[in-house]
Amino acid sequence: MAEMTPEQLRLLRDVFQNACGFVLRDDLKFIAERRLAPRLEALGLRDFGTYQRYLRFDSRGKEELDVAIDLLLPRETYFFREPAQLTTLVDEVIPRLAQDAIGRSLHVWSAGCSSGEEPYTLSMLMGSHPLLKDWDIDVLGTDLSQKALATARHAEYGPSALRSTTPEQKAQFFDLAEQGRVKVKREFKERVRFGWLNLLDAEGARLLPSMDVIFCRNVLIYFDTETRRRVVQLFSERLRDGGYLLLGHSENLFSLTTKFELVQLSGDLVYRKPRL
Amino acid sequence: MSWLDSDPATESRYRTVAGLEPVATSFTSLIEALFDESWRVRRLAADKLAAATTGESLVASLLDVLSKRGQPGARNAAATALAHLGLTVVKPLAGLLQHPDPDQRKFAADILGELGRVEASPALIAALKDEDPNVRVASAEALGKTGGPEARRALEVLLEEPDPLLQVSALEALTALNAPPPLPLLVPLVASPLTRRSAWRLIGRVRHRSAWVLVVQALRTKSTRDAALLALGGATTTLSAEVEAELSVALAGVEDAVSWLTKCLSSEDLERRIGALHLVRAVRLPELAPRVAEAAEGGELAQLSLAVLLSLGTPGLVALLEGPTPALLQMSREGRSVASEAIVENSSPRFVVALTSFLDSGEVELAEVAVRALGRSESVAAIAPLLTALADDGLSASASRALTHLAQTFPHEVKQALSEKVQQLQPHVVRAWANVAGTDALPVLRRALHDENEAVRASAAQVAMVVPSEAQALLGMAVVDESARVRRGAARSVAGLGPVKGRALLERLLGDREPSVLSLAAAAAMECGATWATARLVELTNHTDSAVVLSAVQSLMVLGGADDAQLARVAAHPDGEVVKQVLHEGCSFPSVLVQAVRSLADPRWDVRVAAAQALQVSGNAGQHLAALEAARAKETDPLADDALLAAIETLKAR
Repeated sequence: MAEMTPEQLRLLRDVFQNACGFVLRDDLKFIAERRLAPRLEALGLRDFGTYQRYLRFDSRGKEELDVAIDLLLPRETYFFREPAQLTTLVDEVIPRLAQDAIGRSLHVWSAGCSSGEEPYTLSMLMGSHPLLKDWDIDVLGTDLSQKALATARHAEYGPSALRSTTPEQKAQFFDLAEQGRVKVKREFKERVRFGWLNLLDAEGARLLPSMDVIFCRNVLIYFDTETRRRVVQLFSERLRDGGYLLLGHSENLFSLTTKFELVQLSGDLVYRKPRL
Repeated sequence: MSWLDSDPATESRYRTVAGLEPVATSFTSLIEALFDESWRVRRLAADKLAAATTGESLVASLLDVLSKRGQPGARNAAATALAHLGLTVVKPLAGLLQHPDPDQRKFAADILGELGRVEASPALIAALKDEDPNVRVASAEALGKTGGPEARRALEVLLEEPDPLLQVSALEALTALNAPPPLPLLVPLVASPLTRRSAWRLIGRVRHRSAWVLVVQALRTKSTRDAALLALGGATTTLSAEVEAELSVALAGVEDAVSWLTKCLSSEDLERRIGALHLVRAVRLPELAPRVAEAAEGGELAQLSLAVLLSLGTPGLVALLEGPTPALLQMSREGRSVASEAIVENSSPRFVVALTSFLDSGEVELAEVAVRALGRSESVAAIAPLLTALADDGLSASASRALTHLAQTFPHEVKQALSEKVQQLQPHVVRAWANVAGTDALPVLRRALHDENEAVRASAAQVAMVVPSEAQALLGMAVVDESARVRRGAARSVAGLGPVKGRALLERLLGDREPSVLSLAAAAAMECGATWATARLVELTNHTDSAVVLSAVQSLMVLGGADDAQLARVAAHPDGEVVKQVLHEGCSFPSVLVQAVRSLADPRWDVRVAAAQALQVSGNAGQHLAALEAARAKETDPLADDALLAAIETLKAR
């Protein structure tokens, strides 16, 4: 198997960083070698230096870049992930949103939704919330990976996606499919839309409606600081005044922006865009 | 819209700083900007100053900023700039270590550490005797980054100091330098809860049997087992068979070994997980295979996890693949990815049924793994599921490669199975068929080259060389195809015809209007040794498309058609990749060496690396050493610094 030199790793990092902000860390060299080696074999390329040039110069380079990013970008996700934060959403954030909302509609964005488990989870929690009965709830999931989005639209999942789902939740939100798999029930599936969006694409993001809540969990950690700033700025633009931003438990906005206020709820800390 | 639109005043100041060059005339403005209320402006000013050509006045100004106690933002920004200014700031910062204010002395130690130059070690060693404990600790930590034999000796002496904080700093610094001290210095530190973790970590790095005896003993006892695991966590490579045997014996007597290891493999503490992985490998517990794969979470331990999984052999794979709900289906993506690598690598006929079930699992990634593993299973039973996968758009490319692989063991069976499939022309089926059927593929290839689907025609062109006697005729159809994709397919394989037989076709491809075809044609000229093409390749070095220039230059270098003047022109190309190519391949030419010296100051780190490498290969001390040393004094990029150092050492030795 071809070995990636430090120089090749750095050049590939530059390519990925420019394309989508993803930082290929030094300690991921082995993973990158293993996951990209089949691509070298498939394309008949001798080493990772040639691969980097292929990405840049070959007529199929852009297509291959999507494949490479898809192989390298961690996409760990499952239903009802980080339950403490979801409890905060249900018990504290939703009541506030219901109180503040103009009309009976809510827009929620799951940014970097991967294969769809998070937006469907949000649809399930909001769709079954007593305060939001008969509300118009619109959940948007966006991601960079076309492959992940295809899985998301299909809405069928295996045991790995259900490792944090209780039997009660499984009965309430899913239909059984073949081979021990499950399918998201129609009523929770139909209020979720998906879109192909690079979070560095500010122009594309401006086509989205004004959001009440944005979920972006465990996505910013893979970006460099400048990219995080740009993405957080984009969230600030898309979020309505008083709207909430929920990040992963190891993420924060420290030294990125002062455009959000930190709100201490009884179950968790969340960010809110201040009202003017 | 920028993210600071809401604050136009700050944005204006930011833009002003952004417009400043890091030259002497801007230093005053940049230093002032270090005091800006916006951290973003301060950061930009620090970055600019860090890129400056250093002079005494600049260093003095930055040191002056460090003394402004009431300005933490400015001080930090100045420290950032100083830490990037290279060797020239070592002396002034060593001077600052004598400052009456202990806060200043600590700052100096921290910056010298960030600088990471061995030249700073003597001053830091002296500072280990500072009257202020914070300065002593900061100096010890900094020595862990600057290194050198004297630093190691000084840190070892600190281990006998009574202050545990200083002892811990010394232990951590020695760990950072991967320089374990003599064992008698470490053993007493295991007793104290304050120094225990750091001491065990270093014991694991002592390459001596007596250290492993200590580890093995500690693993036998419940109260010391967790701490001793850290010694294994420090072992960065695979342990020797002898050590593994001893560890295995030590754990054999431990009743709750499996549950303890299961817990350790899930630990948040990376070193604990590493230690547990080493132990699983030593004890060979295949039932822990799923936990071993999951220990790769985060990515840092993927290599070790995979090595341990492979060491567990077939029983480990059984634990991943078999059972009512196979563990592989329930794992995280990261764990699954590592487990998949092990499955592909150790695939065998035993797993064909389990792998086939993954094709219908609805999980795209698992299906892809199953196809790869089936191709390596060396089982005739794998042919049927692979044929099914060939019909799946998402899996067809992998299935085609897998069938080709399998055909090495079962040529007749794979060929027979594919012969039915190939009646309906699909790009990957055509490719697989050509690879398996060889010259018998001719009728299909002829048909494919007339197919209405350009992807099918391109596939046929790309594999035309499997029928050498007819390849010229087949490729003749492809080079006049209206689709650039098909012509690219031809360009990819035309070199196989050789420089004489393929000349007419290659000449046409070298005149194609599509840059992507030209680029491949230039590469084909190199591949088949078409020296007659040099004049055209020289023309192509003027092409507007960088990919074409790159390919043409590479071919010219190999074919020997480049001259000094041409290379001098191409070496000044705006695309860094082209410049690097010339520097790599043309460094025996005088004009390229001149360009290499110029490129030492190129803003792109990779071009500077290529320039240093070119001078390392072809430079000489008399002409180039001074330029390399001057470049290194300013260099802030670690990779470029390594390349410059290697070049300097080579030229000095030459």
